[in-house]
Amino acid sequence: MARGAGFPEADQFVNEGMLSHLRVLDCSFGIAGPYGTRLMAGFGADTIKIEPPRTGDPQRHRGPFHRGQPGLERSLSFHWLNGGKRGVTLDLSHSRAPELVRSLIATADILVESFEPGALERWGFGIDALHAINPGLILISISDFGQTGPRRHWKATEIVHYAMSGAMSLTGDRDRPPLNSGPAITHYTAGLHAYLAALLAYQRRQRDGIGEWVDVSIQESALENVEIKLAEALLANHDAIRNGDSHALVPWECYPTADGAAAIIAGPLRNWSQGASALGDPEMLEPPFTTITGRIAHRQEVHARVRAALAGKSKREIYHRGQEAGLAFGYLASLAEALQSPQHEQRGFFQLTATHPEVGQLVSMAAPFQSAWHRWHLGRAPQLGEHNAAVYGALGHSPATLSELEDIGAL
Amino acid sequence: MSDLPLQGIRVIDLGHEWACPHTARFLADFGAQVIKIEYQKRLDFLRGGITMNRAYNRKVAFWQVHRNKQSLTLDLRDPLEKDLFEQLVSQSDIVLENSRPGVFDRLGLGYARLRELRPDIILVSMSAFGRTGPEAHYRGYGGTIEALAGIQSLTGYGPDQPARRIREMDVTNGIMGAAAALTALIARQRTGQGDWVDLSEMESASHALMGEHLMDYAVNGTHFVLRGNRHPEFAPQGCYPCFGENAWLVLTVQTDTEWRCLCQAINQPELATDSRLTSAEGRHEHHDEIDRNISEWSCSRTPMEATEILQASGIAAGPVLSMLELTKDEHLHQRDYYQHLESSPEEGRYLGFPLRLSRGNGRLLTRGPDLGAHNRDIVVGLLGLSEARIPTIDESKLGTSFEPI
Repeated sequence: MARGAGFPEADQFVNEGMLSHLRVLDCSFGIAGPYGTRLMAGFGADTIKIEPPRTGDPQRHRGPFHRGQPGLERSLSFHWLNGGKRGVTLDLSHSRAPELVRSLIATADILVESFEPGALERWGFGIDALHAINPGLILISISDFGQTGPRRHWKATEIVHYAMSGAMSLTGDRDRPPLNSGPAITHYTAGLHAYLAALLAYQRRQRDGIGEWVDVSIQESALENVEIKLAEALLANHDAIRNGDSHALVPWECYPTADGAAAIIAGPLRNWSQGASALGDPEMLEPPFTTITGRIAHRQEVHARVRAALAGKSKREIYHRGQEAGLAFGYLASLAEALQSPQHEQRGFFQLTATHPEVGQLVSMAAPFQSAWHRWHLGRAPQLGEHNAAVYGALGHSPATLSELEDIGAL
Repeated sequence: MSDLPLQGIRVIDLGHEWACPHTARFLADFGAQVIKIEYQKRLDFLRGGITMNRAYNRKVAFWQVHRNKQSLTLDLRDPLEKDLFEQLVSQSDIVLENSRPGVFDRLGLGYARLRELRPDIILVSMSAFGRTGPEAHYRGYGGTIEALAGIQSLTGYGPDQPARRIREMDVTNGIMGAAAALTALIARQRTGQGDWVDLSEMESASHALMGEHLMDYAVNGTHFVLRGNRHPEFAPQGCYPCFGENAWLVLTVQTDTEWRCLCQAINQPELATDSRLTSAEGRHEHHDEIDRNISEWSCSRTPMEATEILQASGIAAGPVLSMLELTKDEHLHQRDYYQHLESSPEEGRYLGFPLRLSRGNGRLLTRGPDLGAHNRDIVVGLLGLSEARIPTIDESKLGTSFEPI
């Protein structure tokens, strides 16, 4: 882990994570819930992933797969989202499930689920039943449209959420259809909010020991991504429009260079006069281009001058020159280029997971933020049911019971 | 209803632009007392570029991103005002900042100093590239980060088309900043120890948006292929024109059964028996043809009419909602999503909360504050100092983030 220069030495770096006093049960699936619990596991919480017997989390069946070959233990998105967790199986709808659930719930701080609204209750694990077992339990329910409301049973995928949370109407070109996000942004945003919800509820529980139930709607959670534009619609009746990558400020987008695209982001605005020298066009340092109002008034000319200035240059050259001159230039990196970033490399951002019996070690990412004292637990994703004996055994269930439950399909 | 989760937690928000202020907004929404430090010579970007007639107090973006916060104007280069800041730190739990690494060290207000003032202080430093590494001193906005992290390379209309931005990296990083602050807060309860969290926005956005894609490239060497609105596995998936101007529907068929339901729903049952189309593989091969069939059906219906038919048939579908359409959305209305300011409900509606806690959710008390609105409350009320110490605002000397100072 990279450490800052001049960092105080007085305190001891501890091996345990920031959340290593928490126990989390994760019966969510897909992306949102598992990402939230992946963070909990990474920060040290003992996180037990509960999957349906035999088929597991549906994400195990989603590509991309290790070396392109499908298989229960080969989905790379599953590996990414479930690193650092332990894994057990349990069919929550099975008549014998309650005896195991009771013992799991009794020792847990947080339960994360993403079943269809009402399913948990139907199986006898509604919030009241759970709190009867453990009044301190924090239940996080993630769903597409929330636990209430007329659309609570609608089906949604990433593109549906991207469309219904407003961002898609603003992505892509004006004369073409709205464009879906490449990243599964709405699901990841909901996963982050599930994580935050758990910590908020835990913070409140510290005062009186009482848990609570949190309703995370992926749609509502994703509205945060357009908070300013939606506020402008609510309070100023302003409807933002789809307009390619063009930005209110200029230059503030990607332009072609000799070897790809450079992001000419001319901020902070106060640094224009020093920074624009990196473009090598002396007229850009003269009126009307010296002020942002002048550049906006001459938008097309700015575009033309930037394009001309970048012709024949390399994107990395212009990136470093702009940055050294004080502007936030970048370049459009492919995944290959992102993986080779010297900055990432020096900070040790990409790390190898622990060895998985079927796929070995995989390149993954370290913590999304670094504590000065506590480590991130990278680990690896569990095999389906890998920790049945360890987890259920520790809760007092005998090997004979477990084997019987396995035979009847409960785990 | 019990106390808000972050009741009793005091946060100093030194942030500017959007990411760090969003972090502080989240904490404020859930009960923390958040004090936004404002620098008169360079007002926050969201306060706009005009200082005449106090236009900086009337920016909707500022009202939203700084809601529930208090405003204290301070010049940290002025010894007396720096002293106010230090006194405030000694009574605070969390300090948030997103200046370039080293800025607060140079002011004599780095982590080491903050710890002297408050031994268990939590400092969350958000920067574009993190506080170590060869590019630590570089600057980054959302447009920089989205491009450099590789995130932008994942969105576009097709294999030979330019990459397109999804934007709003600031919100992703702002949410992650809140995760950093709360994680450190909960660790502090156990250890009694504060923290200095180093959040690189490049790393945070990569972590929160592209893990499976990075892993795929790193493990398999597979170059990501832009697919527009199509899905790598499911078919069909797309965005289809509907009746009306700029009216669009999206849908995803996730199983072969759903495919047969779709064919019925769009009144083309013969497609369901077309042997070329029974598997996702076949439907991928003939995606253009299927898209034409769906468009033919959708273009005479509004997005919501079409969606309701498809949802009733068990297919994931939805309208592409614009910002104004979202403000009128029936489902959000029935869930009481939108909120009025408790201090002045007549002013209009704001976004609600991204999650709902059963023991009492976040609250929306006030909009983003007027510049320096809480100078007196904080200096006299909280710090117990004399009126003479209240920072004054000289309107003739105000500057903005839009021009050189």
